[in-house]
Amino acid sequence: MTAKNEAIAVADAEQGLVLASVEIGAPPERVFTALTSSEDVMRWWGSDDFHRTTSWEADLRPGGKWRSAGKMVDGRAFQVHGEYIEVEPPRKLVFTWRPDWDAPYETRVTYTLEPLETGTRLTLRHEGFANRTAICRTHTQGWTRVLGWLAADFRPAAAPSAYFLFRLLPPRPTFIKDMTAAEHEVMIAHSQYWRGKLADGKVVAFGPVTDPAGSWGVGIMRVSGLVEAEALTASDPVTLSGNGFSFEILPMPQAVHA
Amino acid sequence: METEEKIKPDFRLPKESKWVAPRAVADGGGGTLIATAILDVPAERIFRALTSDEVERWWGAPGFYRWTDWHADLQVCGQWSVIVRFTDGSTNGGSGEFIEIDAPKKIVMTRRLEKHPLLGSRETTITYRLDPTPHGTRITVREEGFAGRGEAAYGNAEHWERVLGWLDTYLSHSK
Repeated sequence: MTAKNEAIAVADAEQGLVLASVEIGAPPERVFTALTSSEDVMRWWGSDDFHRTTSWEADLRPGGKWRSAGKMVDGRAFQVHGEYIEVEPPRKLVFTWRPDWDAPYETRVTYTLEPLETGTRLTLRHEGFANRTAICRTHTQGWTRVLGWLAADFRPAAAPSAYFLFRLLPPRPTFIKDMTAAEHEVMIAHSQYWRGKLADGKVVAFGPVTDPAGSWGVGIMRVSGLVEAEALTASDPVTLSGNGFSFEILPMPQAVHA
Repeated sequence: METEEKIKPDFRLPKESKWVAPRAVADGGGGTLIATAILDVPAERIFRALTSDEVERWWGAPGFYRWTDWHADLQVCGQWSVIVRFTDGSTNGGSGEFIEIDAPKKIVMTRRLEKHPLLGSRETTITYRLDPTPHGTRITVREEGFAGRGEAAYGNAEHWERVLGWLDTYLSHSK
């Protein structure tokens, strides 16, 4: 079962619909402010591993415009803008979504905030991607991350360590024996990357596993949570190479360590 | 937010994991839920498990209930029905009609339970989509018709994660 304080997003790509949700330990009024005030959005929307929000302007009334700019980790800039359609603090916010990387398309986002005894259930509905499967799926992954950042912003700063085991599955079972020169270079960069994370204390141990069915890689991460674990594997040179590697990340709820 | 194909490779996105736990999200206000999972079998296999009396073998678990007495006239406007048998011996009837069948990719069907704790006897519409991915078949379930019954949408979303888990377990042991 998905833990409710963990952000999740799912898509019905055929219908062009993304739904995402997370439970946040603060009342709807505070969550609504966090979603709309420049000071708040600039703080929580982004992370050093992915991108940072560099500006946020919002004329918070029906028909009012909003505009956000950000910078990706490699310096590339991007913008998203749109218009507020419904503004009903602290329960509902509907706006159009026009990212510069998806021009000229316009889609629509609805945030619904429901009070719970423990805080707020935030539900996101993003619609209008009909017949555009790829962008629908990238937004699904994106919203998982964004709602995760938002929820993390409401958690106490000193998050306890969480342990995750990851498996790196190569593009083919024979990879360790027949990798190309280019793939070999990627593997060297991959090894250096995790050595750096070892020095940072983010990974406890890692390395290849000999398996008669085909070798694969394993590691144990010590991080703040799944968001950070996913960020670490997403920034791995093997992921960036786009060469068909895939990661499995599995929680170790009762890890014992030195 | 994430970008599309034109900026590649998108370093901000992890590659899709080989194994994805069943996940579901409800939009109570919008009256819709979506559940997804990736199952390591072909779409034909899943289609059969969803539409034949095989449901009696996997839909349910000790401590919950079992689906029994499955009947289905697998054609557009065909009827289906099932008896839900709970651990305490009580039963509930489920039934509906097929709206669209595109084997093995899509099934649209209505569903109504005689008594549902949060839904009463409200009919919902369920759409199953089965799409191939590099790691198996992605099953997407969309259930609609919860308007005004938001709690039922949240309850059913949580339950769909369980149901897709049962399906995954069954299929991975019956290849």
